[in-house]
This record gives sequence, C-alpha cells and structure tokens, in this order.
Amino acid sequence: MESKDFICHDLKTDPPDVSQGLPSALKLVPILFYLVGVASIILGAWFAISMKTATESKKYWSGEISRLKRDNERLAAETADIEKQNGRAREVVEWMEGAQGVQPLSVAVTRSLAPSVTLSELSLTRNAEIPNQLYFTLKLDGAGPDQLEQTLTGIRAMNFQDYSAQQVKTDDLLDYKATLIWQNPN
Amino acid sequence: MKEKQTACVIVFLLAFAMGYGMKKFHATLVERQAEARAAEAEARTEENLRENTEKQLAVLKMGTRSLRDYFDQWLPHLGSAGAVEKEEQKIFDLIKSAQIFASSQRTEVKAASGDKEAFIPQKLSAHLVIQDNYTKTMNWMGSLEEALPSCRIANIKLTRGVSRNDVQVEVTIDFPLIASGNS
Repeated sequence: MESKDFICHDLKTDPPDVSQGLPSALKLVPILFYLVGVASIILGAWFAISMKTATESKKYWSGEISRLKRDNERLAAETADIEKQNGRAREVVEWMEGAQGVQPLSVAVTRSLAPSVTLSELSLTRNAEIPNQLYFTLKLDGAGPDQLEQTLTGIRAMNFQDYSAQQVKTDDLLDYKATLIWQNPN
Repeated sequence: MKEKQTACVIVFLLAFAMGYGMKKFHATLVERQAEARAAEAEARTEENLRENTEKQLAVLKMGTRSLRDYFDQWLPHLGSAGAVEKEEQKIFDLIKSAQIFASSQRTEVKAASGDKEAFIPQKLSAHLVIQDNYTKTMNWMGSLEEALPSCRIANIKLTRGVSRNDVQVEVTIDFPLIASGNS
C-alpha cells in the first residue's frame, strides 16, 4: 500500500511582525487629545459656573437698573411738580406784593391833614408792570411844606417810600406827585 | 499606517474642535461678564443719579417750603376763571351790605398776564364810583380789602363830594382769577 503523504507547502509569506509605529510627532496627538479633553472638562465646568454667575449678575443689575430708572423718573416727576408749584407760588407772591392795602394809606393821608387843609384830590395808580409801585398824586388846598412833610411821614409809617417827587405850589393849591414803593418790613 | 494617520488626524481634529469650542465658550463668557459689568456700572450711575436727585429734591423742598406754604395759605382766596359771577357777586354783596351809594359799577375780565399758561392768566376788574360819606366809604374799602385779601386796588381817586363830609371815590379793583382746574 502506497502511503500518500499529504504534503502541504505553505506558500504564504510570513506576515510582518507589527505595523510600523507612528512617527514620533504624531504620537503626541493622542496625548494632546487627552490633555485637551481633560482641560475642556475642567475649563468647561469653570466657564459654565462663571457663565451662570455672570448671567445672574447681569439679570440682577438689569433689575436694579429698571428699579433705579423708575425711582429716578418718580423723583424727576416730583421735582417737576415742586417746580411747578413754586412757579405758581411765585406768581401768587408777585400778585400779593401788589395787593397791599390802599385803604390804610388813604386813611393815613387824610388823617395827617390839619383841619385848615382841604383835600382836593388824592389819587393812587398802581404801576401795571411793577405792581408794588404806586403813582401818587395829592392836591391840597391851604397846605404848606409842614403839612406835606406831616403827610409824607404818615405815608412812610405805612412802609411806603416816596421817590421822584414833584411839588408845585400855586396860590393855595399844593400839587404833589411821587412814586410810592412799598418796602417789605420783613 | 494610513489608517493610523487618518485616526491621528481625526483625533487631532477632535482635540482642535474641543479647544476651539472652549475658546468660543470663553469668548461668550467674557462677553457675558462684560455685559454684567456694564450693567453694574450703569446701575451705579443710576444710583448716583438717584442719590443726587434725592438730595437736590430735599434741598429744593426745604428751600421753598415757606413759598409753598404761602401758596397753600392764599389759594383759597383766589377766584376761579370758571366762576366769574361768583367773584362779581362778592364785590357787589360788600357794596350792598355796607349800604353805600355806588353811582356806577361795572366789571370786566382782562388778561392778567401775557402768558396763557400762567397760574393767574386773568383778572376780574371792577370799576366802581362811590359817592357817600367819607367815613362810611373808607370803612367799606377797609372791609373790602379784609374780605377779599387777594384783591388789588389798581387805582383810586378820591375827590370832594357834594357835601362837606362826602367823598367821591373812583376805584378799580382787580381780583385774580386762576384757570379752571387749578383751584
């Protein structure tokens, strides 16, 4: 019996042992990747926390801005209201300064007259532009300088000061004109 | 070899992408922080403005308190442009109650100021001619100025009357009228 040995020739070449390693420069890539990965996790967490803080801070300060702006608007409105009231008050003060009693002045003039003197005319006209000024005209019969001085003393006692006085004496008639300015005693 | 290089490139790109992402994230963070700081700075400015305004308002209030008190005190004595008849009646009632003889009496509403927005834009002018006893007339004038303290005698002319104790008074009395809605 013929033995038939099965001969198998291994024709394949041996595979290379291992593939060639990467160039040394490229070996840094995975290291770089891990470093960047770790850094990204750490920095990402830090940035996220910082971002949350910054967002909250912005939200808080935006709220404060809105509140403060409302406060400032309210204060501006209040200031405008006070200014308006002051403007009105100044108008009233101006009016009232031109509303001093004329009756006491008229009485003071007539009371200052001696029995021998007759009042011919007493006129008081308020200056439309400067209401605390009065154009004063006095015409007296039988009056002399003493009488006029006495009358002016009475006028000054009522806190009126005479300016730009003009005096004309013809026969018995004394014509006196002046501007009276009220002096605030306060 | 080629696959490894490709893998390296991919890994490198991933690393680059992470780095780039972080850079973008940081830029956004810096921007947000800058916004927060800007908001804080604006809030501080607004706060300073508020503090200054509050101080100025307090000074203004304190400095003009007497002025506004004066205004509050006189406001009830001012007439209203919307109730001229009422103000006229006050003057005529005073003439009637004093029982003095007014030979002429007329009233008119005039502009008190060139400014239409003024608080006292108009005035009621009463033109009266009184012929009566001197004492009675002077007492009436005194009571008029007392009863209507805001009235302003624009002009007055006293001359001798018919008899010795009589006097003729030509007087124009102005009464302030505030715009309707201000009273």
